[in-house]
Amino acid sequence: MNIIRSIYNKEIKYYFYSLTNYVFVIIFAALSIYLYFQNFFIQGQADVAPWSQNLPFLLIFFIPALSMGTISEEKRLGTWEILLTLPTQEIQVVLAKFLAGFTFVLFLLFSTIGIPVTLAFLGKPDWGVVASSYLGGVALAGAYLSTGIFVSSLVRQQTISFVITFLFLLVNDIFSQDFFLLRAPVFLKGIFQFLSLRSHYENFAQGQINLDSVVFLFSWIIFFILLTIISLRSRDF
Amino acid sequence: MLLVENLYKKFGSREILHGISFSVKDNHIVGLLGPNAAGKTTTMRIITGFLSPSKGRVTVNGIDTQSSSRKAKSLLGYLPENNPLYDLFTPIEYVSYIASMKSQKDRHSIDQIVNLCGLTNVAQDKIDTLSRGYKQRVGIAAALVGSPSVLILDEPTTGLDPNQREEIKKLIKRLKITTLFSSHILSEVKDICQEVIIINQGVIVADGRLSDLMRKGGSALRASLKITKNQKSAISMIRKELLKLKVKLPRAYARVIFSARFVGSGISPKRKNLRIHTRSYDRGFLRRRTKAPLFSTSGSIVKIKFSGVKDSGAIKDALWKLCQKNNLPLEELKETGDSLEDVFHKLTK
Repeated sequence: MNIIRSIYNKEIKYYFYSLTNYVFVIIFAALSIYLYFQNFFIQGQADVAPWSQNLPFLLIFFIPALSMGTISEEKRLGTWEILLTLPTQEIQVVLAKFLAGFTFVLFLLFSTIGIPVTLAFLGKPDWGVVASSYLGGVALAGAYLSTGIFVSSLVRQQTISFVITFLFLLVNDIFSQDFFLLRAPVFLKGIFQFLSLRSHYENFAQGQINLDSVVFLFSWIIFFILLTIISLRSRDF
Repeated sequence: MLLVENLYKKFGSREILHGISFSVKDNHIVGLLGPNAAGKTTTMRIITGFLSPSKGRVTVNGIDTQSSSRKAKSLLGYLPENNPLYDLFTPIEYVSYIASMKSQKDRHSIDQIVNLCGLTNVAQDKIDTLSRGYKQRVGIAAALVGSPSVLILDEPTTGLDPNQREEIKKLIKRLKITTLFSSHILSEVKDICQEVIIINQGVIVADGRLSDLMRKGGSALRASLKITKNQKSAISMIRKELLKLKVKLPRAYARVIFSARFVGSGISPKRKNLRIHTRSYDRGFLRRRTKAPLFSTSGSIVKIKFSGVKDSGAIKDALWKLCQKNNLPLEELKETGDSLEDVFHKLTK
């Protein structure tokens, strides 16, 4: 536990020391608020639906940028060698890195707190839906983050890590898009929808916390953390 | 004690290490030498547990680095090649971070390490603001955390200036810990290490005490002649005469040991760095221009060195005769072992 805490603290220091990361949070918050209020007054409804609809797209851009250097940068700098020659285990390193990234993701999502606060002033939002939308957002971001960390463990260049994660998440998102599903073979539609992270997130966004979706998103995170550990253990092959 | 037994390492179909075995006794500093891509870093990475061997085993104080990896890792201190560091930390934060990973919470021992490595003055500065020499000390300090039984230092002086190199050398000597030390700088290995392992293409080609190795490598013959007048023409004459010698000289060339004397230039020959620089320049210069035996001069003294000599008697006779014939006072004729550099070149060619 001490080792996880030490690595976590180091990672947090790096996340919160970087000016770029603050700029990143500001851009994310600004884009979220802009996309939300764009049609807010035309719609005239006090709910977070416009925000939650756009959130997966925003996260597809922002999470790969956040996760791209998690491991690849350490590999490039060589600090990775130090970390793995200390009495640590790969699982401790990966968990600490995931938890630190996840903490920053929470901070990122917290930056949009202005949206529900404004809603509270302008109307009477359904707080259950707001809470489940945020919960879904956190779970979705966690799933995206674990994917990004896995990709980061495979490569040495941050840019390559970003591009691969972005494309992977984009393709996964397309699986739940109508234009894709309309063209997909009927027998595969269900599989595509099941595999799409967005379709599970949408349940949360509608205020439904399905056990299926919770298990799926949680399993996704664990699966990619395990893949990352395997990828690190096979570093010398 | 560090024991490496029959180590093999394959990356895909490429075998990098072909069954190497060696040991480092307690409190000994052993130099691991070899040309680029010889397998030095791979060997060190396997010892530290960063890579796993395809075959063979490594033990630190009897603990297997594969089966008891965490326990073995806690007995090792490692400074990787290029000394990667977390730049946002201060030296004290970095050493504390490594200490926390090794479950060492004793603040006093952290301060002691920082002090031992001469980092007290910069302990609160960010690592990215430090000079290379200080960064190297930070790396060594991190390797010392947790009182390791064995230190693995992969080229700890690369990229440092001569003064910084000297400081790091002194620090390593002062530590008195079992150390495996790799370097490209042979003089450095000679200064620090009691024993040397030379590795080439994944195979150990020499392993033993420095003096034994240098004796094994073949002998060198050094002659000093005193020539006060017409030194240049005398050298030219001797060179011609030496070329006429019908003596079998394996790789028969003479090496210059050039000790320039800067007469009237105001530069003291005692300035070591300058002398080393001048020496290497002139050696290269002369080598490029002649295949014949080369000479060095130091004032009125002319030095000739033959290395890799196997028939020293014939050369000695020829030199005696040559000196007698031309009335040249032969000051010294000495047979010694080859330098580490000579041995290295021979074994890794």
